[in-house]
Amino acid sequence: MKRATRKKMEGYIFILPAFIYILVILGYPLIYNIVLSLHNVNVKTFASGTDVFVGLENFKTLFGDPTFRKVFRNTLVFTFGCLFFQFTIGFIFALFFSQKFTLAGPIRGLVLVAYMMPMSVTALLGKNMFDVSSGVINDLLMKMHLIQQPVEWLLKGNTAMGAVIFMNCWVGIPFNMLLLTSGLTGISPDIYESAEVDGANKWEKFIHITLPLVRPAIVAVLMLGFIYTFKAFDLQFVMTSGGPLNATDVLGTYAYQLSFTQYEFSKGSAAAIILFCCLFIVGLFYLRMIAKEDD
Amino acid sequence: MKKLALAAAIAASVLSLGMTASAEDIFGPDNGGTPIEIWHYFEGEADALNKICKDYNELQSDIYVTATYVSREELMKQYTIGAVSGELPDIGMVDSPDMASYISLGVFDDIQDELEEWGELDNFYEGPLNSCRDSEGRIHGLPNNSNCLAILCNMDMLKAAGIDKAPETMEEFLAACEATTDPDNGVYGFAMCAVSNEEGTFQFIPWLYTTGGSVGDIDSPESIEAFQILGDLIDKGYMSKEAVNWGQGDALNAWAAEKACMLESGTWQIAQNLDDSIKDTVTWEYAYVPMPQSANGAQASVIGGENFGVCTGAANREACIDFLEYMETAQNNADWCELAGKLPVRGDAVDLKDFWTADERYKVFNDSMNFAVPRGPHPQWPTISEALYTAEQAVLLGEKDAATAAADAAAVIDPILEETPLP
Repeated sequence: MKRATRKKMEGYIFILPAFIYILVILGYPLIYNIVLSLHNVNVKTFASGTDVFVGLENFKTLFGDPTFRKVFRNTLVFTFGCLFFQFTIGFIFALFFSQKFTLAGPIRGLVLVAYMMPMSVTALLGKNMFDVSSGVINDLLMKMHLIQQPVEWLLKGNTAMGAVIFMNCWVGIPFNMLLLTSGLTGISPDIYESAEVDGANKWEKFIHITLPLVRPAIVAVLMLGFIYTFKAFDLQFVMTSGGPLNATDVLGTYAYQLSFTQYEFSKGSAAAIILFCCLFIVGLFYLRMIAKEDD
Repeated sequence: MKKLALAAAIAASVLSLGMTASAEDIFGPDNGGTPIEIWHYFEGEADALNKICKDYNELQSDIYVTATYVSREELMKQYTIGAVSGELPDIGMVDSPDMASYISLGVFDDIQDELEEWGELDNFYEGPLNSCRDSEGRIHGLPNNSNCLAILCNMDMLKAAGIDKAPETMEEFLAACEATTDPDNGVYGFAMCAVSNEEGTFQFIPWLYTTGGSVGDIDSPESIEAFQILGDLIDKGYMSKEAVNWGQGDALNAWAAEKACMLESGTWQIAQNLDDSIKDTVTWEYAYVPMPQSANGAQASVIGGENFGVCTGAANREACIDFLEYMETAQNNADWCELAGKLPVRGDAVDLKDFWTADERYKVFNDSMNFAVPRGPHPQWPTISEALYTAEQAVLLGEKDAATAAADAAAVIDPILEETPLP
């Protein structure tokens, strides 16, 4: 019994450094943020220390604010839009480049360049590419006679969101491809061979072998993709500043704007907490799935 | 081969060390005083600021002043974070409309008593000095320079369109817009910045006050007219919708690329751009005129500029104030503003040189200061400003009509001003 207790203690001591790290680096700011979101700290109350506890008032105000509701909707549209395109195209690329043909490896490597680029650089590229009068996209479309007039990409809500999703996919596709490729290479060729012996066609092999076996990688890529996309900030901040008229503002940029531009610290914290909660739920879901698969 | 590469790397790093100017080169030899750090976002004007620091360091030995460049966005963020953490510079520079917010956040110390002892406050222009006051009127810093807005005209383009003189009235301005707009060649009559940040508000204010509108009465018929004028510029094709994504630099680039005949331009663009970065590009004749006059003779511009304040918790507070006073003596203010191509903040500094009256371009700005309006000061100016540029953008993008946009802006601004009115 004593020995068992000691063993248990040893275990706790081993996880202590990680626990302290999480407590200091993540726990403190998180708790501070929660406390801030329940008070009314802003430019008027900050220095005088006259802020008071307001409960969930900031959350109520945010959800009652049409701009915030728009921002929340944008975040969902952006996240699911990106996930759909980057996953589908990333998967097709992964399948394509897992074929053995000359230069498959080097080309796959080249596609990764977009993923390695800092997001702010990608955003600047996007800003220039989608420029109405001098952008390369309009120039190309005009030369191909697909459009007669330049498209006002970043001046209209829907096209601006489309442009931002496009740029994010540019980075997201290689990321998806990379993770899915590693999932695909883990599948033994023997399984395909025996399926062929049994008379399976290409489609059957894909549905009954590839998809089930690559499923852990798919789940991982979708979950991580959701987390990365949902908390987006730098792309919108640099490429569109959340505009036009908040059409590409997402929770990350809006929380920043509230706290650092308007000094509405409590409302900014509340927006950040909402962002955190959404990600926390997805994170829990992901952990549960991993645990299930481990079992 | 490896050795060669290593030698090359060492040589390169030694060379780069040699080429990097040390603090002593820039700010003068260490005088043994308490180190004092200034944070600023001056780019073209940095040399002028460094020179003032160097001169002051050679003059006394209480403090050793150095200036550090921090990008504007980052600087604003650092002040906000510094208000919580206490990690602030000793002296901080700030855009004048933002000062009231930072005073309210406790970033800048109240230095009114010391400045009154100095006895020179009466020489400062009211507008810039007021931007250093808190809501009770106490002074927390000193203005350093002013600027305002005027219209920069491509005279060759105007003449080609049959117009011999730069437009002075709103009617002439609109006629010039119509005459010079050439959609076939992608040329617009006018370009301005209507971006979603303070720059957008800055460029909108002159129009608002020219029509007789005001921030305090943003849904009045006069204010609505201002939104309408700008909306019409887009509807009639005189101005590119891209203005909503253009910072002031981007709008200038459009003008310099001959994509626009006229530009709403700031004082600093003379020294930093017309006489420097785009000097070789601009091969045509150009002229500055004040912002267009309305039919009833009203005219307006907007005051911009930077202030310096002593931050809360600064080392050797008294010496920091002394440095500010030194930096803003009439002579130093005049010298600095001439070097940096800005307008002085004190009347007696303007009298010291003919720089602002002899050069026709600066004269336009100097004269425009007589009818330039300040932004705020108000601790919640950023929220007011956001309401203004959002309303302007909504009209320019055709999302709302002028009256609705103005009403929406009023819904944000009026409650704020009811609680704390504008001065």
